[in-house]
Amino acid sequence: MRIRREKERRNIQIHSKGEWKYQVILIVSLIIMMYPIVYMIGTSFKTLSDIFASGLNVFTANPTTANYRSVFVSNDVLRLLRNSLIIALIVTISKIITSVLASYCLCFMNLKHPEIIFGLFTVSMFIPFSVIMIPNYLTLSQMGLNNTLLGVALPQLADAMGIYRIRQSMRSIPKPLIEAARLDNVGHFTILRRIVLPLVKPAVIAMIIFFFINSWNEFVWPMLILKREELYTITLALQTFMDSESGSAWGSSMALATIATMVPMVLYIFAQRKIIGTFMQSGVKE
Amino acid sequence: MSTIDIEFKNVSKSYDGKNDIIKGIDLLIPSGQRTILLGPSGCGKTTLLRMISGLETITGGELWMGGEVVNRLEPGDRNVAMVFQNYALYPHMTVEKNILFGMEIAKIAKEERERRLVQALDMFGLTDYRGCYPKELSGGQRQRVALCRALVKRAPYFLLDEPLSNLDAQLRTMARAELVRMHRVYLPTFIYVTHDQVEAMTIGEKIVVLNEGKIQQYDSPDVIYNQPKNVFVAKFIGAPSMNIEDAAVDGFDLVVSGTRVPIPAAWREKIGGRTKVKFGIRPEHVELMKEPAGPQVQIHYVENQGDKKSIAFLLDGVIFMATAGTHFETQDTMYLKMDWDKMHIFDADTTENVGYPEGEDRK
Repeated sequence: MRIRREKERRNIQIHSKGEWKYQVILIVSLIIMMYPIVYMIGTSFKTLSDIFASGLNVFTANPTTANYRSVFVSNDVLRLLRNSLIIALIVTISKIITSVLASYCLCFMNLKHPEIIFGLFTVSMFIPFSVIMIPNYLTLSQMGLNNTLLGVALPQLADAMGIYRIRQSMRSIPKPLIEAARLDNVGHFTILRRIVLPLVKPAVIAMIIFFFINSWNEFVWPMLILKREELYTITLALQTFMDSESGSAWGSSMALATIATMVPMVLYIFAQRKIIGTFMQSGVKE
Repeated sequence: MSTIDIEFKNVSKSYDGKNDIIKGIDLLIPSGQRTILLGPSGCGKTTLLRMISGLETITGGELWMGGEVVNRLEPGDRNVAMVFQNYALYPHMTVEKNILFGMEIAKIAKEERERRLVQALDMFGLTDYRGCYPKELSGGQRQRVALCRALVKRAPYFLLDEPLSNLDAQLRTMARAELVRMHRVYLPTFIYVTHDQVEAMTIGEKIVVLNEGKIQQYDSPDVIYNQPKNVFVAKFIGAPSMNIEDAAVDGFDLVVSGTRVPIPAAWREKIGGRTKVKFGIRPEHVELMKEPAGPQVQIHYVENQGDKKSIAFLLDGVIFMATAGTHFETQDTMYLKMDWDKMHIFDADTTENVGYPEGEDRK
């Protein structure tokens, strides 16, 4: 174990030598990507006059927490977080379950024409959201799910993207592994749980992050379904700061945006550790 | 027939419904024996093994195991243990977990699981590697873990799909001996697929030689080597392989590449009225002399194989092989002396062996 770590550490060192050019490229792109986020956080600590005075400067001489205080006064932030979280959890958990089960069937069960079924799944990826938005809205209205959190989640319980990605990962599992288990009379659910899932864990975790962030950031669809303010998600609440009449409350808006970003960020940091851990523990290739 | 024999009754297999990969196999594999399925790649040997395991469906005929037709029985219900070519160890489980997994599923008592685990690890010298992951092991160790995993199942049928093909030569020799030793201890019905004839000869008690989905010969290694049923078996078994050449029967003489030899009296009856046959002789029954004791031949090339030399020579423009000791010295032109009693005669059209004279010692 210790020897292996040592080896891996040494490999990393060898790689970084003479490759500073790539490091520079990475650092530059990192700055480009991080700047808006840092700017958002910086702005959330500025007064409105400071925001216009400081231009592109992230920092301010007189930081204030007034924006945060006003956000918590004017909004029930916890409720916003809860609403977003309920939708994101339902969507993410459901998408992962359906993707994993569908991928397992496509890869390891004796289906007649798995590639045709898989093709039909992928076709659904190519239909733009704007095309199905109105039909979905009408269907949900008929079902009486307008203005409910479930209504937001319902059309998103399965996702072809997840099937595509997880199937890809499952395909790299050597078939004899599954056959060996079948010879031991291991049922499909046990094979899935004890053999397949541990081996595709990185892909599953990646998809969890992907689905969660997607759902968390969703704006148009919740806006269509949720009209009552107590059902607002955090992205919908952000929009309320944009007011063409009394002027936009930029500072408060950035404060709430910062709070909104924290949740996926924490999830990402936590999950990323898990992914790396899985990679170190085992490789699928023999 | 014992109840745990395996019997194929006119079994066939086709993937596309048109061409049969396995063409009407009839085969009885007695319990407790080491049976080898041997043949070149694509001959259907692995398919046959997978049919026994249930991982491959049967499209025609019946497969009997343990006194019942198992055509529709799930792999898990057939009570077979299998060792895969690439070992199929679960990469995310330690050696110990890999071996325990199947027993856990079978709900074997914990103490018994542990007992079998310890015993198997000990038998294959893996006790120190209990906690290792497969990727931390060498090829030979992985192969032994795969054997342990199959062994602890205590299944009456033990299937092995080219388990040694990924090992280097030295390890393979050791592993062969280990396999035979393991079989002697537990005596399961042992069915072993290989394309390596040396492996087949050393491990097998019975060998099934397969080609193009058909059984060519099913017998003990000895008989298969000394009395091959047809040209395919004769050429496939033995290294260097048997010299086989078209020959004409002219009265009481046999004419092989321009060399005329009288047919021994005992053989005439076997050859019967045929005028054309295929003549075969193993390289070790061909002798090359410096003195002009027979037809003249030209040495083509010599391969030193360490324990012996393989010599290719030209007899009237046709290449033949001979083997000799390592100290044997060759010169460009030599003289041929064949052990004619050791010859094999095959029908020119069917390539079937015509048989051997009565009372002939074929060893």
